[in-house]
Amino acid sequence: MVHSIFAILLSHLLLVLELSTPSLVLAQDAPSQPDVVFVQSANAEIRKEPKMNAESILNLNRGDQLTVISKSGIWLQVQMGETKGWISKLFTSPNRPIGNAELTNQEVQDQSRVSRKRPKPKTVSAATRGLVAGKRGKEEEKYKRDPSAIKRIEKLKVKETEVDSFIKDGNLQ
Amino acid sequence: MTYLRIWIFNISVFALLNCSTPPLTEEEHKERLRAQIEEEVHVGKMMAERLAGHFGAFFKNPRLVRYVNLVGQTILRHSARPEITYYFAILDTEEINAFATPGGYVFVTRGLLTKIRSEDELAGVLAHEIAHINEKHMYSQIKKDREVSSSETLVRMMSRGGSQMGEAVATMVNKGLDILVEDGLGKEKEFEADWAGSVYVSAVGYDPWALKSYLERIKTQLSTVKVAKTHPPFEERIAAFEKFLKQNGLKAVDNRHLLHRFSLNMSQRERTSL
Repeated sequence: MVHSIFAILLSHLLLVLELSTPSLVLAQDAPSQPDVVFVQSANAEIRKEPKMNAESILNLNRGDQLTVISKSGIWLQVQMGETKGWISKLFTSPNRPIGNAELTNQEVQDQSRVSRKRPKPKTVSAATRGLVAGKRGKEEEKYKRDPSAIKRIEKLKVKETEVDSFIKDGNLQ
Repeated sequence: MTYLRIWIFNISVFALLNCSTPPLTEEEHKERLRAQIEEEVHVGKMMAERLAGHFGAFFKNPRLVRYVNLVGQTILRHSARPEITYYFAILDTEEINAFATPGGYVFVTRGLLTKIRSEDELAGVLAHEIAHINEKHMYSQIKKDREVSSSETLVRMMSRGGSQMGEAVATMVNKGLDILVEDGLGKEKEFEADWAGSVYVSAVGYDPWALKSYLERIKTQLSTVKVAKTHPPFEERIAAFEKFLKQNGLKAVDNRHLLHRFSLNMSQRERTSL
């Protein structure tokens, strides 16, 4: 009797332990361990305390991997090498950052792959409008499109060197 | 016999838990992220096209457009998501408002610019919008709850004329525009964007308290118009913002030296030479 109770308790304990461990299914969405984050910001620091005005103790680079010790509001207590301190979670990501250039290269490759199965021009234009024939709804009329304005906006993006000068002139960081 | 059954049951559960699909490799995970970003940017761009169509984009004053761009890109030096490109633009309307669409498009209205009194305030407004993009406030609300496989993204399927996918994008775009223009993202997300924005501006040296000054100035003017519908009550928002600034060591910064270039770029003449 005692044995059977012990066996039931032990087996259930093991089951609970197993269920409390992150499952492999969950791991698909977050291949990195949950207690690891990556620096997303181009300039970030580890601070002595969870305050923006606290002393900076380590400068970080984009992509640096940090081990999370604890969390408090927008702050993560982290460790990198021997250094322990705090960083705002707003400057981190659970995923290793993917650069824009990397994405662009990928898109070029993808387009060449897709081009082999290029659809009829009419289908593309309907699809890229986000609509299909006969599906133009009230919303489309409510918010009419202006793709040329967005093209122009994209062209007006300032150069990095201009931003550098602007920051320097304004005595900003 | 009883505990033999229990053990068999438990072993089966263990097996089930551990024999599910193997975890994604680093490359597969990267490919999945690429697919998701591709979709986010595509949907955001379509929303941006409609916002520009709805309000009209303002280009008449290139100096002002450039200044908004420079302030926006300055904030991004510390807070950009590296995988997307951000764009800043002005909408040609007297309405006092700002918008962000997923994937990196930020808009301020001409009406809003007439109410701004410093570069720090402009930075505060733009950072709030950047935070909506970075925290995916809009995108997480509109995207369909579904898996995007790494090899067959929504955008690629759409480019082959997939009618269902075209509808899915159209639904997301329309839903997003309704949130932006009519319904709002909700109180919590607006608070979060205020808070995140203050951290962003502080990291580059702008005054994180400037947004509070701006909100206090416009609260009386906006209580009856659209922005009041899409944003939380000003008193509550300002109180929550002030509490956050104090709790997180976000001290006021004296950037009086920026007033000169602000007035050069944003003088009344510049703002109304439309």
